Amino acid sequence: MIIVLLAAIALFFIVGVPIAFALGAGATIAILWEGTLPISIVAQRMFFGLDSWLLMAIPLFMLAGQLMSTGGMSTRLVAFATELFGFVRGSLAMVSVAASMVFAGVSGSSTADTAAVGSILLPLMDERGYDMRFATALQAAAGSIGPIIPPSLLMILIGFTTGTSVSALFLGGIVPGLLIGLGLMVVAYVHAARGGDAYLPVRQGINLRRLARTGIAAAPALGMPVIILVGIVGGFFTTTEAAVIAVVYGLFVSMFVYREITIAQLPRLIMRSAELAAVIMFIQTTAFLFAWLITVHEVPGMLARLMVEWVSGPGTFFLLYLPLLLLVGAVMESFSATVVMLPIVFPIAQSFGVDPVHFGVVTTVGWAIGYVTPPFGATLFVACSLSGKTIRETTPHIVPIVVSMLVVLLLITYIPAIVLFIPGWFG
Amino acid sequence: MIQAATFDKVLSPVRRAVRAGVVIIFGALVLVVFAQVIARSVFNAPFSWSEELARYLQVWLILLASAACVRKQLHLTVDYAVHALAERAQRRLQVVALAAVSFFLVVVIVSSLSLIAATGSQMTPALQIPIRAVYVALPVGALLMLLETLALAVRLLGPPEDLLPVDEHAGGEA
Repeated sequence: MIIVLLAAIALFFIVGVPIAFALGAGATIAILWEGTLPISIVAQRMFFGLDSWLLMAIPLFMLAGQLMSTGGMSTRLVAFATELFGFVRGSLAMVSVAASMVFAGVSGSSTADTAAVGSILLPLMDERGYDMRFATALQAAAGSIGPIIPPSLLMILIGFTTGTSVSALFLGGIVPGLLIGLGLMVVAYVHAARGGDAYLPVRQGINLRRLARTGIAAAPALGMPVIILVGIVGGFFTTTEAAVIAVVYGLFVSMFVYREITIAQLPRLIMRSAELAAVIMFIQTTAFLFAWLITVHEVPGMLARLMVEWVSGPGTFFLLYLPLLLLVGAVMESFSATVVMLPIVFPIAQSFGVDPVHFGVVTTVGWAIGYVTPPFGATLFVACSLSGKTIRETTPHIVPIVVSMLVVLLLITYIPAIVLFIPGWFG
Repeated sequence: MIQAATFDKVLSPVRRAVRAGVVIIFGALVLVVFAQVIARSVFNAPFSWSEELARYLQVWLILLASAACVRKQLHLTVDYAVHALAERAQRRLQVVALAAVSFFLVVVIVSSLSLIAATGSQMTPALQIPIRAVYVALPVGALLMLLETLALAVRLLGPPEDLLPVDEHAGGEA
């Protein structure tokens, strides 16, 4: 039955059936093949995959992200970051990383992050004569921090799929996100040091008056991550409630403070957010059916018994898991990869004593590297379409960037304390 | 042979209704959840019904929006194998893929109707509305997706000039 299930799904994938429908059709065929389950189980499982209070944070954070990237927050964040980092060599590259990190704390989505910051900074870098192949790769990587620094749509889905606390995952992502940003700044500095005059600083020193002025203009955007984090960590709101506060806050700031969104624009924004959320959530409905079949047939247990000969604990487990994570991340979109792979892998990880929060954060960082690596790199696609460079042109410049991200991945995998110490304060 | 244009004409009021439905339901969802936050944290008087209502709005929201995604071909696909083929073979495979999608949607409709029949006049715990009013989102959503799938198939089988350009934002949003 499991073989029928996996073979049918693989076949549908190859023929080009969208992932959500391939999972559903494959599961249906397996159920009909076995013949003992009522067909109403299909609708029932799908319904439970949608009827979730936690997952509601996904459409809400999606809407908040759309509001804030259209509503003028990104422009002001970039202006502020330019005053902060303008005196460094390769300053615009630094600004791209720094602004993406702050925007990561506002939106939960890597592609929204890449588009919001990249659409402002990539043209500026081009104007100054930066090597755009490098700039594109860097912006793609900077955007991939979006789901690592909270809030994070990806972590909500990982938390839901594995039954792990989303707020613990959020907290666990803070340090890895900062480390990746730091690594990218180092790579950018090395690149700028060897580049020509294009990389000269855009400002002479820090002008305190301009810093203060742009800082005040950016304050409403900077306040967002604070509200979300304090609210969730302090136990004032649940993740979903924090998401709705982000929506209301985003609406207020972009309509009444920055005045860049009008009522007439709202239906289009809402529709766009609903579609983006539906793409993720509809996969989740049929994946719920798939995961249920996998669990009922005890597939993870069987695989774990097979692996027991080689795997003795978390260390050896990750030795096998990291290559799988990077490979799947490179060829598949992260949300589908999460719902297909984690129902199988997570129980195995647990049976070898891996901490659920550690597992979730490592997985998030692994997928983030997948956003940057071809052939399927979600933020790479966005950055390339913004700069007009092809994936082939940027690929050589991706190498040092991905190496810096891999270093962080290995660090957080083998020193779990880096991930777990902040959640530990609040646990 | 049905022409793509006729199909679009028939579907266009349906599409407008879906769009309006999505916008209204999403707006209501935001209001309900925000009202809950205010009631609980400011007035210390939580509602008993808001979480349930929000979850049911979400069920409707995602299923309706999903139909719009079928039309715009936003649903994520693993397309390496398909892209390696010649154009004619690609179109043939697309027909097979649309047939598989339709098969699944028909199963969802049948399956959800049997689920609805089984629930009878059961009421939801907090709101005390018939649970059928929520479950019915599944066959309605699946039927809308099926109609959009058929519209894509009609287009694919018709003359080449009817082919829609695929949405360039079809990549994932993560």
